Amino acid sequence: MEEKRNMTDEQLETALSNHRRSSRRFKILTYIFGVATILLFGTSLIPIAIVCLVLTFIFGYQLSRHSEALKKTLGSNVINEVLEEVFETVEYNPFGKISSISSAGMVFPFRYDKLRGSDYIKATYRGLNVELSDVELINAEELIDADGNVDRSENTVFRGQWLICDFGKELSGEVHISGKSKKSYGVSISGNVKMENERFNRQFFVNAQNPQEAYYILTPHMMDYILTMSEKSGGTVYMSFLRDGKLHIAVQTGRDFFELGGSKVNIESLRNKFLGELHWFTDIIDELRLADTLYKKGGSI
Amino acid sequence: MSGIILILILVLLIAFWCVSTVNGFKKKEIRVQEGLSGVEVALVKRYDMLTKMLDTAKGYMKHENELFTKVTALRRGMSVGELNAVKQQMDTLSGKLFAVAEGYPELRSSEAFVELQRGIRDTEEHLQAARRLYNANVTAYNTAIAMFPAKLLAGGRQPKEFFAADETKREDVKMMF
Repeated sequence: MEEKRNMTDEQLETALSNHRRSSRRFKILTYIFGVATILLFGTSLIPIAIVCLVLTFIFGYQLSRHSEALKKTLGSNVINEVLEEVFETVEYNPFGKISSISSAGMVFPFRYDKLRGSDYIKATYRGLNVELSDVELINAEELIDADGNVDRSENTVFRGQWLICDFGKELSGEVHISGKSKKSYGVSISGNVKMENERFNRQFFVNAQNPQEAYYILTPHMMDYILTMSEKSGGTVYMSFLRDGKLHIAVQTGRDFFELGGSKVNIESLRNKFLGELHWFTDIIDELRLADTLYKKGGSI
Repeated sequence: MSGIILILILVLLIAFWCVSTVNGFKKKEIRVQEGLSGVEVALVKRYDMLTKMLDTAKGYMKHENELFTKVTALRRGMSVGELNAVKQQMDTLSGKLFAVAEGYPELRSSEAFVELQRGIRDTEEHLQAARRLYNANVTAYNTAIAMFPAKLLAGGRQPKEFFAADETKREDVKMMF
């Protein structure tokens, strides 16, 4: 947050467009020379293959330089302003990520081994500690064929946003909600609690140690709200209400936060887009704090 | 020969279905019982909270004897209807107690009273959760024994009673602990 805005909107739009153009150009060049290197190593043209390899590294380096510059310019000139408008105190790291997701105990229909992330926000919102970031969960697989050759592959099984909000209120149990995904990831999940709302049961699995906990946390109002916000998200929603008062929400949107997009750069519409992305999460916190009884009341249960 | 095998397979399938249906009834019945004990536990907690609150209030409300004139006790094995009646009495009493407490600023500002008030609201919410869970289990059970062809195996099983939802307090019940 230390860098202050020092460009006009027009200058900023030009700078961002230039970085984006350069990133695209170097991305294409990196791919072309990368493929050429692989193909040439398969033939006897080794010297040309080595030249192509060197060029791949150079273009790859340029690509990462411009991508980083794009993210930094966007961060210090647009995102920081948006974040300051929404949060009371905020730390933003475009290259950071939420690391404490394993404690959430989310019930996912997939396995994952690796966590990648970006656009990490650690903030205070209406007095509550909040963490938010883009998250990519990767499942790494090793296949060994009959000759003993090892084939390693990585599949992204989750790409979206992850929110942790500390409501500071201890609950007597934990409840996990998993949106039903149309896509199959090879791991079958189910719920051990059926709620009285059939529409909710059709869209979510609910897991809890004690069914009464699920009914305590998922009031009729809360279920209606989760259904509404799930429809608005455009992705699969996973939630964990933890004993220590923390709420984890993961939304599999399939895209990242704070992206420039492919259309013409317009700072005002970018700001509105980023504000909209943040408000999806802050609206949930507002709703839980003010409208529902679970976190509204003080003390612990 | 193949006809006999087909008949045997059919008989086996029917036998499996009968066993799983009857077991399903049993499981659902157990869930209803568990739900009911959840309601009982929540009611007992609420009863204890109200008792403590009335004890605290007694010290301040010397002229409100009317509030403390009738005893309603919870006992084991009460029917759903009886539990519901007790719940309604407690609703009425806590509503009345909070209303009367408005006239006693000292009581309202006492730390113990505020804490108990919060506790009562919390136990009320737990009771709501227990009631909803019980009713959801009853719905599942009643539907299972009423649906054809499973109802053929329901035998003497009767539909279970629902725990009534919150209603506006109709009676003016007096309680004393």
